[in-house]
Amino acid sequence: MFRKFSLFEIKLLLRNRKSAFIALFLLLFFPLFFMYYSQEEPETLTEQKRAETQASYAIFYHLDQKRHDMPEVAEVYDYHTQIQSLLGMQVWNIGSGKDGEQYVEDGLEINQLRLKVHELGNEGIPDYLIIPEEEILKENALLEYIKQNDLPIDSESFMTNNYFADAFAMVSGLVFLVIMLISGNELLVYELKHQSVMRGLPLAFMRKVTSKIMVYGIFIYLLLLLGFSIGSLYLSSKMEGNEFSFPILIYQNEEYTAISASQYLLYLFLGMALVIILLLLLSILLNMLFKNAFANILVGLGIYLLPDIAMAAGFNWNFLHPVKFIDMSKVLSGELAVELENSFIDYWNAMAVLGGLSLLLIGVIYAINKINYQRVPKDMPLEKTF
Amino acid sequence: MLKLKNISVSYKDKVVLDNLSLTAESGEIIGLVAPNGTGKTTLFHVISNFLKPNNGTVIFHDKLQYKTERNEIAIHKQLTTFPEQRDLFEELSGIDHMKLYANMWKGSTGNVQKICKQLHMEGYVKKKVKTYSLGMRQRLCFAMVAAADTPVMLMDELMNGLDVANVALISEYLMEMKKEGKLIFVASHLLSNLDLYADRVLYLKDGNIIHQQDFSRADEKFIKIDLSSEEYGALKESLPEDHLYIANHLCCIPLAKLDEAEKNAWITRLSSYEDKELTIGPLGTAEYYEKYYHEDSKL
Repeated sequence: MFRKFSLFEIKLLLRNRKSAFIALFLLLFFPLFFMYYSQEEPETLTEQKRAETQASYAIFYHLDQKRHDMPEVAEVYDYHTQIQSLLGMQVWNIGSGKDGEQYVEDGLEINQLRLKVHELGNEGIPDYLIIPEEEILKENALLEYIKQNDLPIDSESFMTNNYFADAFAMVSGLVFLVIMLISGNELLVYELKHQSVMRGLPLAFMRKVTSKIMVYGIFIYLLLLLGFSIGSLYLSSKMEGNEFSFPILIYQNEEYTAISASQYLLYLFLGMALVIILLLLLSILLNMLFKNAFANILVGLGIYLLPDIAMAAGFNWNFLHPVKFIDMSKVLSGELAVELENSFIDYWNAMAVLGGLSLLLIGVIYAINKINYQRVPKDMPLEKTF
Repeated sequence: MLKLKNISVSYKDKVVLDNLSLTAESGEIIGLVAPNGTGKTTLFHVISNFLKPNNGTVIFHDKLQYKTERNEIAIHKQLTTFPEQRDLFEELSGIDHMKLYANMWKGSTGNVQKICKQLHMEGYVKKKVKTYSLGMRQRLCFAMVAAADTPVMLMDELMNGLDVANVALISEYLMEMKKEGKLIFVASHLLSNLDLYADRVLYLKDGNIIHQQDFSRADEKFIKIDLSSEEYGALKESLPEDHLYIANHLCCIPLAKLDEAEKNAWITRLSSYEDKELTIGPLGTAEYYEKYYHEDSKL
C-alpha cells in the first residue's frame, strides 16, 4: 500500500508544472553559475602575494613613524620586517624559484609572525591594514593541509574548489529555503482540493507523510546532485583542475580546518539531505496548521528571518540560532559562527541540532494527528481534514 | 454488517442528524432520499468518519468502531466513498484514477480493464480528465469505486449528469455488485431509478429516518388514482381512514385491510373517472417523496 501510494505521489509530482520549474532551476543553477564565473579572469597566486607585499609596505610606512617613540611598535616593526622578507621569498618561490615546499614553509612562518603581531595588539598598524585573525588561521590551515598532502600550490584545483564553495554559498540558505517551501507548500494542502478522492484512502497518516517526504526529498536531492554533477563536468572541461583531493576550509571545534574537496562535498550533501528532510517536515506541519499553500511560504520565511529581525532589534538569542543552521555552506565555512557570534556553530553541532529538530517536528506531527483522533466533539461535530 | 447507533450531528442551533439509528446488511442496496441539505451527505460522512458526530457510534461487523486510527484504517479497507467530479485530478487520466483506487484497496489493477469495458470507457479512459464531459467524469467516479471493489460503498449523487443510457448501465452494474454481496448506499435524486435496484429506501427528514420503504414487502399495495382537490373532497368522507392523499393529487387506498368485495367496489367506483389512470401496486419512491416532502418544496 505504501509503495503504491508513493508511486501515485511520484506520478502527481511529475505531472506538476511547479516541480518542472524547480527541476529546471536546480539543474541549470550550477552549470550557469560555473559558466558565468569561469568567464572571469581570477587573480593568480603570484598577483595575490604581490598585493600582500604592497600592503605590507604600507604598514611599514605607519610603523616607521612611531617605532622610535614606542617600544611596542618597535617590536611589531621587527616582526614585520621578517614578514616582509618572507613575503618576498614567497613571490620568488612561486615564480622563478619554483619551490612550492619552501613557499608553504614561508607561509606558515608568516602566519606565526602575524599571530604574534596580533598578540601585541597590532600596535602602530592602522585598522584597515590589519589582517583579521580568522584569515590568518584559515590560511594556516590551508597551508598545513598542502604540506601534509604534498600538493602543488599552483594547481587550478584550488580555483575549482572555490567555485564549488561559492556556488553552494549562493544556493544554500535563503534560496534553498524558498525552493523547499515552494516545493512543499502543497504536500498535504493539495489533498484538500481533491478531498473526496484522497480522504478515504486506507493508509495511516504518518505513512502518508513518510511517503510524501521520501518522494519529494529524493526528487529535490537527486536534482541537486544532478545539477551539481553537470556543473562539475562543465568545470572540468573548462579547467585543468577539478581534483577532489584539494583542500577547502571548514570551521570545526572552534578552529579552521582544511579538508579535501571530496570530504567537503560529502559533508555538504549530507547536510543538505538533512536540511531537505527538516524543511519538508516543517512544510507538513505548516500544511497541517494553516491548510494554506501561501501560509507555508510566508510563515517558513518568517521563521528563517526571525534571528535577523531579533539581531536588528539588538537581541542575539541563542535559541533562535538553529533556524539559521539550514545554511550549510555558512555553517561549514564558519561564516555563521562569526555572524551570530556563536563559536558553537560548526558542522557536527549543526547536524546534531538539525537532527534533533527533525525528530521534534516528527513528534509534533505525530501528536497533532493523535490528538485529532482523541478529540471528543462537544458543541460541533469534528471534521477530518486529511 | 453496519450499525449506526443514535447518531446526532448539530451545528450550534441547526440539527442535521437527530439520534438516527440504522442497521444494514451485506447484499443490500439502500437508497437514501431527501431534498438537498437534509443530511444525506452528512450521514455518509459520519459512516466514513470524515465527520465525528456529536453523539452516537458507527459499528462495523459488530465490533469495529472509529476509536483509533488503526480501527479507522481497518474500516476504510472495507469501505469506499463516491468521489466528487470536481475533486478529480485534471492532469491525470481516468485510468490513473482507477489504478489508484484498485491499488489502494485491492492491491492490484487486474480488474481495471474489465471495468472500463463494462462501463464503455475504453474510448476515453486514457485521456486526461480535463478533456472529459460531466457524464464521462461521473462514470469515472463510479468506475473508481468499482475498481476498489470494497464490501461497503457509499455513493452520493450517483446518477448526476448521466444520460438515460448511462443511468441504465450503472443501474445494471449496481445490481451485479449487489449479487456479489456488497452493501451499497445510494443517494440519488433519480427517484424512480431507485425502485429498480434498491432493497430499501430511507427517507430523511428533520435529522431522522421518517420512513423506510421496503421493496421486499408485498403487503403495501394501494389502489392509486389522480384526483383534483374538488374530486377528492367529494370522495373523502367515504374513503377508508388509512387512505393517503399525496401532494394534493394522488389518492391511495391501501388494499391490506379491504376484502375482495370492498376492493371490487372501490375499483368500480373509481373507474367512473374516465380520464384518470387507475393503478394498483405499491407506492413508488417518487410517490413517497411527494408524500413526505411536498409541503417542504413549497417553502
